[in-house]
Amino acid sequence: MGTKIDMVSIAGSQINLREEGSIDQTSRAAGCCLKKAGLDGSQLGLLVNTGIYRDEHIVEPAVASYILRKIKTGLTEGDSDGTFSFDVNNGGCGLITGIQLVDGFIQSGGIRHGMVVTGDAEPYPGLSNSYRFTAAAAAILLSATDDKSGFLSFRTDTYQQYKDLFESYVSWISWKSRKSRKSRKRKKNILSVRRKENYVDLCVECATQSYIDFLNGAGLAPSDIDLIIPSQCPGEFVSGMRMQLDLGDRIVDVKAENGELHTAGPAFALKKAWGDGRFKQARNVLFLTVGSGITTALALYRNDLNQ
Amino acid sequence: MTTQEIVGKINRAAVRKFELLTGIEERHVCSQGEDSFTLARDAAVNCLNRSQYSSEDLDMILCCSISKHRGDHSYQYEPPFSILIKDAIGAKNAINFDLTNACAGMLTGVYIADNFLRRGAIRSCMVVSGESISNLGDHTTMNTRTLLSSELASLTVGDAGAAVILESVSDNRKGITVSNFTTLPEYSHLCTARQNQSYPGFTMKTKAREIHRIWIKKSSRLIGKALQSSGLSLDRIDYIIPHQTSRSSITAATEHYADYFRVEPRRMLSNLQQFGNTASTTHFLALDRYLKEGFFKQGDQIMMLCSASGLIFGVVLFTIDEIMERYGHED
Repeated sequence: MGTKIDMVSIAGSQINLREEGSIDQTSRAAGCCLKKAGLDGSQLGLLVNTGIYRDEHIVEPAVASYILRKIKTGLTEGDSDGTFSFDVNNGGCGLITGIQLVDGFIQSGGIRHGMVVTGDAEPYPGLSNSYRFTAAAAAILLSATDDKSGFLSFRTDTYQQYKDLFESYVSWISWKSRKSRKSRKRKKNILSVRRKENYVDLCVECATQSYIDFLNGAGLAPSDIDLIIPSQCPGEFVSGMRMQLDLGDRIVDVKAENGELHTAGPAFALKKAWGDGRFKQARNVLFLTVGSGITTALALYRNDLNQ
Repeated sequence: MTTQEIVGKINRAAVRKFELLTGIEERHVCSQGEDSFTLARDAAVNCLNRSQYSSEDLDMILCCSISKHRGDHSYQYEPPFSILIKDAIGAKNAINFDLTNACAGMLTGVYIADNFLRRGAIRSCMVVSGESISNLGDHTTMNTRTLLSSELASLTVGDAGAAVILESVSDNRKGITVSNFTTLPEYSHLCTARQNQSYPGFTMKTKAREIHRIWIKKSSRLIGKALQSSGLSLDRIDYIIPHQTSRSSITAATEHYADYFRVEPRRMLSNLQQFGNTASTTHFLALDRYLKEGFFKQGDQIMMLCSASGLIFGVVLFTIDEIMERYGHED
């Protein structure tokens, strides 16, 4: 049994300019994903949320349970096992980690359908230092399949010697409102995001190494990969990878229209390639994600082109 | 820190009543230099030292802390805690990620690890958590005048770290026999914690009575399904380790299960007196304590029950095996 992508939905970014928190955006993407797939929420066995920056820095409960509540899933016990949910944080690689987890439960026959959702938004608008990610969310519906399409393999690498290059944290610091010049400094819990200058270059270097190791492990040549769905941050990561590996337009880049997308970036790239037909025309699709740590997570997806 | 020292700040006369209701007399509070990260790291090191594993043997590390306090930071988002722990203990071959599921975090980690182990995707996994949450009580004692406050649960919490290593077994009768979880999201609003904007750290608001009422009522069905899957009846379970919130909720659950299953649970374990509610670590803190005390014997059937914000309900059933020997007890 394999795991195929049934549907992908996105929310936020340039598509909707209303100020919306990450939970509302993510719930909208999840609801839309189910609706387009024609699936009832009660059929979901698992929902994994991989977003990091959430409304008001909620730490409990897991945001996944709020999203389940908003899409009206798991509200009644009935005779089914209901839907289980939890949050995963693996930086910019969370979406692939979430997919790997859902794939595991599908492979073992525990569930038929699972959804990975993700969304980031500034937790308290205006109360952060150097937060510049676009408010955006996405949902990917995964289902069991007996045909030849689906995820074939996953790989995760960490380069922890670079763990200090990207850090984000909330701390109790003196803060002056930007809205009013007259306001006094007061202490507040403020989100700070700190990137070292060489972070992007080292992300490209680490992702390149993981890409080579992944292809060697899978017995594939670079020319076997028809399409690459990458992380859309940090900064010029996608253009760096394109140049480094001479990928041309085989790598999907949505930065120009969306700004710096964090955890939802790969889903936005997938949505674009899904919409313009490139995803379904590609036999081998490589998801190539990178994030703080530095961590890389890769997944190989194969489409059955005979279908 | 004692209940007298914490609850006494609000109402001295209520200390004894609070102790009787919750069963909590003291809890560990982080000392200078301790935080969520050091608690998790130290638990990971202790766990490795007691095990037959070296850090390089670990294939996976899952960090399940709710609180991610590190140094002066109230809360760390990135990089994930799991990579810091992996780096600190030298587990260079392990894949890692953080997962959070409120107080069900570590048992959710066990559920995921069990799936990877059963499929043969990994051979070993460390599930680890460090919870530095006692500062929740500071805010409550400063702002609460009555013990009816929705922040009362903040006075029950203590700081702790816990780690467990899971490995694959060839004999299906050994180890984890059932792990079953579900989310009831219609109750997700009943316990919430978020960063406070006028005080360092979190604020937690809980409708504890309502949660306990729902948990006691709805967990019976999940337990029944787990027992059915394992072919066991409730009186064949030697020990039940529930999430450690309060003595009154554990007592009420015991009475309800006796009524629902028409048989008395053999023993519900409480670890509240000295540790309080230590969030995601409570089950493994209790397991470690009772293993150290030589409470169990090989072949004992243990049921861990989780109830957490979300609401998350879960059951993990397992058999005590050679772990007794690693705690220095001959069977």
